[in-house]
Amino acid sequence: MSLTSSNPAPRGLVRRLKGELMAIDKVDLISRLTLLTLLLQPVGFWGVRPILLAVSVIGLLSTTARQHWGLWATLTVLTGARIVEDWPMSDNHAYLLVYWCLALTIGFYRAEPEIVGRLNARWMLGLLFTFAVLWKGLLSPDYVDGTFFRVIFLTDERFADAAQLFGDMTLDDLDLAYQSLSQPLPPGAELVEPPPIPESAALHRLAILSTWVTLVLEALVALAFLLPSSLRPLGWLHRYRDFVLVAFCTITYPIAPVVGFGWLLLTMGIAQARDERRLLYLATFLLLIFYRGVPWASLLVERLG
Amino acid sequence: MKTQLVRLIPTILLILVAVNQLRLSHTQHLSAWKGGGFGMFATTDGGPSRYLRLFAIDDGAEFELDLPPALDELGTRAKELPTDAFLGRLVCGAVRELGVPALDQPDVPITYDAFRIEVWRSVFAADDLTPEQELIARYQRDLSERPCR
Repeated sequence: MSLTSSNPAPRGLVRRLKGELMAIDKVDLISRLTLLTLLLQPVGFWGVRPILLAVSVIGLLSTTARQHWGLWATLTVLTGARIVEDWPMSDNHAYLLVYWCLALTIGFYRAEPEIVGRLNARWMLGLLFTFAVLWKGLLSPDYVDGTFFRVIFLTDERFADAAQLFGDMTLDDLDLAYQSLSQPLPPGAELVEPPPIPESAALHRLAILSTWVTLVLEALVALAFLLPSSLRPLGWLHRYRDFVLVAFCTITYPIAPVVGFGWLLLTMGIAQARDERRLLYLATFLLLIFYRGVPWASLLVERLG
Repeated sequence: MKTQLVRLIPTILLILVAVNQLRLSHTQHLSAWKGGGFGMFATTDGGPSRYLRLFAIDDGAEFELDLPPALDELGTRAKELPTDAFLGRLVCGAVRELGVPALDQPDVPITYDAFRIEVWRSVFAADDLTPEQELIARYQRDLSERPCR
């Protein structure tokens, strides 16, 4: 086989690239993106991870392998083994990854991967956001009043850049807050002069904004994916479900340190979406790579002093 | 109907696991962050806001001990899901790590009657974030009655 290159002009190249991406079979695309997610965000302990990575590479290189239910069954078992071995420490996206690999296993086994993928993607996206909203809105005593995000911004180093950028806090403030909030006194003990917990008005506003933006966006995603479009008065949301999910990923993952979850959500989004939304999802998938790869918040903090 | 159910096995699994996570949260204090219930980023209760306290009891006197570093990983799991099973394993791990002898070695000098492990969490006041400590689980093992194997 020989490789030919016609070296099209940039505009032609973009058009051709777009055409090529649109021409990929949907099932093949979601299979590749799932494998890519496994490679970009390796999971599991040493006994599982190398096998998972090797199987993912084989799947990406071989069309026959990635369209065979055996590959997906292997990935389901391996990702599931990780949850069992790590019980109860695995994060939510570890579970979602198992369910999604299982969906692809069943789909390829029954020779209907597109139907099984579409069905499970829609319902799982709707349900997982429903559970997330249930926890935030009803079951947690400290979410709706903003306490959760105030504490997280003050004590979790993964949010320190955001706290400095948007919350008007200094590193010294954050150190002091960490010492006050994260080093508990023995029960019943009290300091004569407890150090003040430094919290700027800007950080308080940021926490309240984060609380409600997250809750409203997650509720919208849940409704958009679960409600049938014929149901009044909110059924119209279903038509915009892809935009709501993309908005959630675009707004959440510059700050939330779980980009692997975002890639999986977008892959499932493609599985249930009409083809004309494919490029929107793919562009967001790429955007998340930049979110993770570029320490944009640290760079901005440095630049702004 | 059967076909549709088979197709939807992953979704059904998601629901079952999430409902079980809700159950464990309410009966066993499983952290909302863990267990597949999609409660991440919903509460301060979990991870660094939970901590363990280990006590050795001898003749009615209590001594607070540091958890041996070898038990860090098990301790992290026990904090997130403080069941008797995890806490019991921690106590016996501590007995081994701290050199407390088995009952058939009475000549070894350091012995304790019992060990107790407690799981606490910080609860933050909504107005000024002042943390208060709350006990969520405790497990005590009398070594004369139930020695660790």
